[in-house]
Amino acid sequence: MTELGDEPVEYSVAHIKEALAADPHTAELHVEVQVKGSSVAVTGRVTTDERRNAVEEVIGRLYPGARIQNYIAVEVLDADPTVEDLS
Amino acid sequence: MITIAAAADLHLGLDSAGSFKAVLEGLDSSADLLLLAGDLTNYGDPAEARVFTDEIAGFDLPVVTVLGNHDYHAGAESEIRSILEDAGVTVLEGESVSVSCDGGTVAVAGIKGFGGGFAGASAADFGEPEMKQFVAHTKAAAESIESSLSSLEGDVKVALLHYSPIEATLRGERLEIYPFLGSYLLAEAVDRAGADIVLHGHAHTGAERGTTPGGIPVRNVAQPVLGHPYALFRFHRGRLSGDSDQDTADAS
Repeated sequence: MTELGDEPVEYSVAHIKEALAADPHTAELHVEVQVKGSSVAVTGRVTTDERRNAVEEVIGRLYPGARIQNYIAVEVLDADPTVEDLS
Repeated sequence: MITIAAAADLHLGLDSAGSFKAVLEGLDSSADLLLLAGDLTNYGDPAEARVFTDEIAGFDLPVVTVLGNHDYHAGAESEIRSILEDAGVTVLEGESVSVSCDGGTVAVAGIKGFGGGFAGASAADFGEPEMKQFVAHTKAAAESIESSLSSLEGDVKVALLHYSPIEATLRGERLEIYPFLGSYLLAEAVDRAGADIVLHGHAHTGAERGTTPGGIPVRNVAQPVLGHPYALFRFHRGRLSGDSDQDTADAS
């Protein structure tokens, strides 16, 4: 199994983004990924705590030795809608 | 007055039960219909579509939707469509529907749309069969929405898409992925046929407002863009527009 650092960073980022899109527990196309050494930092917003945690699990399965910094926020929507008047 | 509630990119999963139902409370008294611009599900799993239909059980407004790319991901889009339709939701993919409200008629033409990019930086119908197929899918969507809109009549005409017809509502997304987020062909089609508003989703970090080159308002109603569960669009026209204007004048 490939470890972070064994391949160019660009490929690691691409593999992680592909895994986050393909895994049914994440299906996330909107997570940004940065890799430096053995660390992975993920940012963005998801809709549930479960999906936020699943991002770490997916990356952990792909790169078991990776140190994951999870900066993903869980989306909180304001209750009131926006209102726009159109003629 | 006609009030349209709109949202997109709910991305409901099996872990989302209750989240959308909670925000729908009271909407039936403040809007005439709910339009959804795709990505109701997260993985395209029919079980996720059932989460959605459970969320709208007992909801009193007409619901009209298109599917988004996430709804297609698991290859179960036909089953998802059936689940939604069995729950009373109107699903548009090249079709149109007219909804009669107290204030008038809302006519909606809907299709998912597709990518390809924007004028000056768009995919061309050239080269390998795979590239031609990509462009052909977008062209077919554009021709379909133009045809649907052209034959529509209503007090308010809506083009409901998942992909964006313009760049302005993508601002905030990485420029490199614009060709995967929409196509100018959709805007050109809407401008030819005419509409009062275009609603789309798909671009989570895009911007809320823009207009087509022909001047038609475009709104990105993806929930992450709105920061709210839905947006309300009020059109002061239709059968009760005179009453509504009078009410406004009296109030002021």
